Amino acid sequence: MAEPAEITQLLSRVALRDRAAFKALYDRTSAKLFGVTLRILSNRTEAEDALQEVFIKVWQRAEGYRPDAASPMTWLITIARNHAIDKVRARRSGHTDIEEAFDLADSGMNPEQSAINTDDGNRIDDCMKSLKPDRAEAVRRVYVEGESYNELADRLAVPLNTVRTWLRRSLLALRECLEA
Amino acid sequence: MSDFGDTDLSRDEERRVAVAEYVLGLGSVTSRATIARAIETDAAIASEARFWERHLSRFNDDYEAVAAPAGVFERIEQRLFGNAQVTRASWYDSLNFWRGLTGLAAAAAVVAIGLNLLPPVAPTPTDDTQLVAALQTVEGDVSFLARYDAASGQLRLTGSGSPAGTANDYELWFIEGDNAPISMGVLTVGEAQTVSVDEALREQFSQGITLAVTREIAGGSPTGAPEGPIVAAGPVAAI
Repeated sequence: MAEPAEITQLLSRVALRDRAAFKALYDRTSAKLFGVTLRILSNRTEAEDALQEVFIKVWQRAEGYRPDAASPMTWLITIARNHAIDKVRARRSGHTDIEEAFDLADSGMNPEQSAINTDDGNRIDDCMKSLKPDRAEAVRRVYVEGESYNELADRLAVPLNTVRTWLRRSLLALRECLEA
Repeated sequence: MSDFGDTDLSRDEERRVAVAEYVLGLGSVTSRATIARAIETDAAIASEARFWERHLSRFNDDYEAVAAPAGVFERIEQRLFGNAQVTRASWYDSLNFWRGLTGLAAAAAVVAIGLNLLPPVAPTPTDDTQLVAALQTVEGDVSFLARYDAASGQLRLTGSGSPAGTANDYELWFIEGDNAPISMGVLTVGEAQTVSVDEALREQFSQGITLAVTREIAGGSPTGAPEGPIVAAGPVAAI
């Protein structure tokens, strides 16, 4: 059995409250997810606490996993990243990121319809090449390290507003390219 | 919100960027919580988030696997399940436990029938031996009582406990010795129901077989073998 199919099956058994499957899922995926929490939190104790929280969420949310919307590892890593990033934002009081009131009500956006595509991976690689190298590097670094706008601005010694403007423009350009 | 020189972004672009920033990991705790809620409640925002998660998942290659410290899984189990049962008994272990309780299960079924908790089957004038089973809770809060009418091949069941949920169904299994469980169909709780036992199984339906109920995905196990946890089980006894 291919590995994603195996993890998908384990997740569906976890949704049925199968604790043996939960253990098997942990054995298969905890190293990768610990790699995620450790990279973002840069502290073993906090990363270990985060790993516990992540697997508790996995147990609670497994029912909501939809194989047609994301690969199982993408789904698991998304839970781990979001948890670790929320923790790091809460911790670094001097480095809270930009806060604003989003007007997200009644989005009216056209739903993004594209299904999982096998060339999705190649597409992002191509689209990243269409960005200036330093901006592509910043996008990837923000994602992987969980860096905030403040940290990015400090590191690049660029005013916060400037960094934010070009990063947001990079995201819009990236989106246009990914959809093309 | 456009106080960063982005006034030329349309409202639509603003929202798309906000979701992209969230998936990328940007934003304060409170603004992230706002978007996380919007993803839960707004289908368009959710699909926008899935779009970015899918494409950016390429960067997940940068995360190197690091073996988690020993004991973490035990602490997770402790937090989720308490002290009750640190390692989950296997499917068959729990079954053997309930198989072992023949006398008790029969007594429970007799009491239940005496209290008229179990709907009667048509009287069988030729044979006054009745086969009954009390399927007691193994995991969760579900239990069933069953009475078999050999003449008609009908099994009458009543179940109580929590429903299986919209995405799940309870499924009844016929188990003889160490043979593979045979599905007898899906069950509901809260109402009496009749299962017509397959001709092939009627001959084997006798004291000593085990009836078990598992929680499966809606419609029953797709593989024909039990996949989900066993929620109730009990031996068939003659009274």
